[in-house]
Amino acid sequence: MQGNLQSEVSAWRSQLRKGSLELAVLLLLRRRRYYGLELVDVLNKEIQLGISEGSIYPLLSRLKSEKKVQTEWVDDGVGHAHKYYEITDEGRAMCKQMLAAWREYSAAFDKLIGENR
Amino acid sequence: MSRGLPPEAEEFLRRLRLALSGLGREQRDDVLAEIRSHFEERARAGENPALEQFGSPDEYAAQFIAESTLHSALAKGTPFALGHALLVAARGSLFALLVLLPLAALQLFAGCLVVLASIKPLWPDNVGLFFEPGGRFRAVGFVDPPGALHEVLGWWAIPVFLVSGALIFWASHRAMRAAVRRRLARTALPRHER
Repeated sequence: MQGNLQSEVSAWRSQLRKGSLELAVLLLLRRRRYYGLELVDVLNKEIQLGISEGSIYPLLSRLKSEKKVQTEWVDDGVGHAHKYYEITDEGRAMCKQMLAAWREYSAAFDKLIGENR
Repeated sequence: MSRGLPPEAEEFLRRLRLALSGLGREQRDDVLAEIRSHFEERARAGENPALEQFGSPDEYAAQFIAESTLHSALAKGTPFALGHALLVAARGSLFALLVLLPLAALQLFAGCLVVLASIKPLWPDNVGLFFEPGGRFRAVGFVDPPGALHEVLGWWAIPVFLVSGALIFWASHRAMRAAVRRRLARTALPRHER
């Protein structure tokens, strides 16, 4: 029973993480440009998002076709080139709106949690 | 550049290349080069590429292809491209039947109205909106011979058919674009939430 509950909660947590992946990627790209594997490592190590290694590329590919990011192949001199992603003005605008929605949602949740205490 | 990749990673890339053949060559090569670079960096750090985190090459490729087809259909905007993209994305599911067939039928009907408007000058008595002598609606379109039926539109049939055809086409086309957008939003979700 306990194990069941735990696996249910962990499935829910993974949905939460995946739902916030796009915003997290845009927030990171606002700081500087990153390549895919760097993004995976930062997301998993710094903010423990727990995403699978492959899941970043279809997302980045979509953001690129939506012109939220642009890409550039750069040879960093490590023996193989890296494809760097840079946020565009359109990407920044979307990130700003997503962040506003996130804050609104989070404030509503805080209120709900406070009422239930 | 493939030096140092374990054979199972090479095999994954080979199968992914085949599965991505639905994409344009440039986009496919770009995706493959990027994932190869990912594997090479892991191999360089002495780690095995976590292939199981990519799933099967076919499933993984599908995540790129569905999005790419839907996007280019929206950019092209032709009824054929939109319909084709919906069929590809829905893979023959009930969704395709429920959305696609009624919309395709409406577009066909709109096309018929335009054809009727253009042949009205050739067969003025046979084309139009027909009522029975008692006032009951009988048909819209081409009737041969009209017999006792009464055609009510006269030459107004041309503008009426043209305008209603254009309106029906416009509305169903918008609905199809909305369906593609919706589908696109769904493919953007992580796999298990769909």
